[in-house]
Amino acid sequence: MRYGMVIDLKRCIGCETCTVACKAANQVPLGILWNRVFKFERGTYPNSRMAFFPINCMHCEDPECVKVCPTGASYKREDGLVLVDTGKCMGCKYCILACPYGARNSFQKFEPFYGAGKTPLDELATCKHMEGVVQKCDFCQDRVEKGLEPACVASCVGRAKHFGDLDDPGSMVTLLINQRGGFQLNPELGTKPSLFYLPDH
Amino acid sequence: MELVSRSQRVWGWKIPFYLFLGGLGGGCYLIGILFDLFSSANPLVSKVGVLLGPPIVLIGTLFLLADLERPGQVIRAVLRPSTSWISRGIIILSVFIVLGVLHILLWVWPSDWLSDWAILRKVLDVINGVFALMTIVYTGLLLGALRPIPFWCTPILPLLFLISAFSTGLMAVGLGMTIWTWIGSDSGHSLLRMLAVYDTVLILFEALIVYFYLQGGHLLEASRASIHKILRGDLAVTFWLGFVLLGLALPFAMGIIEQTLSSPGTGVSFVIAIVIAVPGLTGGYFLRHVIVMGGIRAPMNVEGVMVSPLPET
Repeated sequence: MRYGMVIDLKRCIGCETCTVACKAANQVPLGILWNRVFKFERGTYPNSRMAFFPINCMHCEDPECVKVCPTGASYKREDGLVLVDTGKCMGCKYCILACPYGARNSFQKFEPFYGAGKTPLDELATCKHMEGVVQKCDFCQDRVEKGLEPACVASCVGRAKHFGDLDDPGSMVTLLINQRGGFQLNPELGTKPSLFYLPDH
Repeated sequence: MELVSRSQRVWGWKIPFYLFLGGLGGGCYLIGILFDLFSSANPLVSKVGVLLGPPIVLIGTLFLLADLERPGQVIRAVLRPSTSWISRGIIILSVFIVLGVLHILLWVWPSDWLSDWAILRKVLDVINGVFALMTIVYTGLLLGALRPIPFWCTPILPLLFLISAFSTGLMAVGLGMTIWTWIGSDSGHSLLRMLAVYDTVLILFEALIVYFYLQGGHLLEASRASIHKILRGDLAVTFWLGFVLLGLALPFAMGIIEQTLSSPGTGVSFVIAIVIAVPGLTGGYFLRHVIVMGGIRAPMNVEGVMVSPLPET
């Protein structure tokens, strides 16, 4: 069992629903994004087009963040998820610098979204997220444990995101990677991400 | 898409300050033990070096702890020496400080016991000298292990930190000897001149290494952006005034002037030692400051397009 995600760049329209759904589902604090969509121009005018590239934590098979963590707070679970045990994290932030994909974040002091007071979302966020420790996308492990898909996958308007078991030869993610030539981001780094992209051409 | 040339904002000034004190303390101690092992000069140099080293490193670790968001968990930080430079560093520092304090207590103050036990003392010199060396060098390896920041990911960094540690160590030992001589009655001003000679030569080497470090970084986009930031961007004033002028040029010039004086009196030697040490040590901090504050992330390669990761909060 090795959880992985596939993002079909042909279908992604850069609407950022995944970004917002992730924020809402995980009560991600102000200023932090666990899911980001990069937008840039491909080709040169007049033969150019917009490209959209959603990036979240790659849940690498050989993660840099786990290697550099001195306390063992960053760990890779048997089912492939790379998680942070916030009880053990001392907030040295070495892992934030070590991640080549910029997937990790931390915040020093909780700030409400609107300044005047805490919204219900803020209240949930203060319960869920600890100040000072490192946090990142966890493939919505609460939802996955209940048999649901991660929030970004479930909410994707263009059905561009897929989630499943990379070890299962019959799963949608494996089939898509094999049939459409799924590629990883910066494979030369040797991190072996569990997030694959399907080309948009 | 343009590379975002904003430096990392994860580590603030406390980390470069710790790196500076770690290097300085390790350097002082190394100078102390090297003089004890290989020189028959007045043991004043060795004793000052050994006395300064461990307390300076200990103070450095306080800044390290202050940078942690949850220092209560630092006990666990020794658990991953097989993969993490932070774990290795904490173990190295702890051994160095414990052995160093032991060395001070048994040789400098309050006891002089190790003076009569030369072999035991020299064994301690070698063992803790190795840990002092590791304390200095591991700081460069810690930064060098971060592949996402090309400006740091170079073997020149531990070498640069080593030379800088020796240079600042010599300055600090000179300053320490000056103060010691004011308090006591030992006359060590000829030793000061010798230390200044070594330091003047080391500063030349340090300048060369900094040149090669900055020169070599132009090959990668992110390190090129870092170097531009340091030489011409918002870290330029700190670099040119804080490091090059205070840390290199001024101590070098004072060292040369001291050599041209035929027989300076004790007072002059002391003043020169202070005029070398104060800007020189300040420069040693600023070197690490610009290196840490100038670290810029390498872009990700997205099907041939270089995309910069968003700066972390």
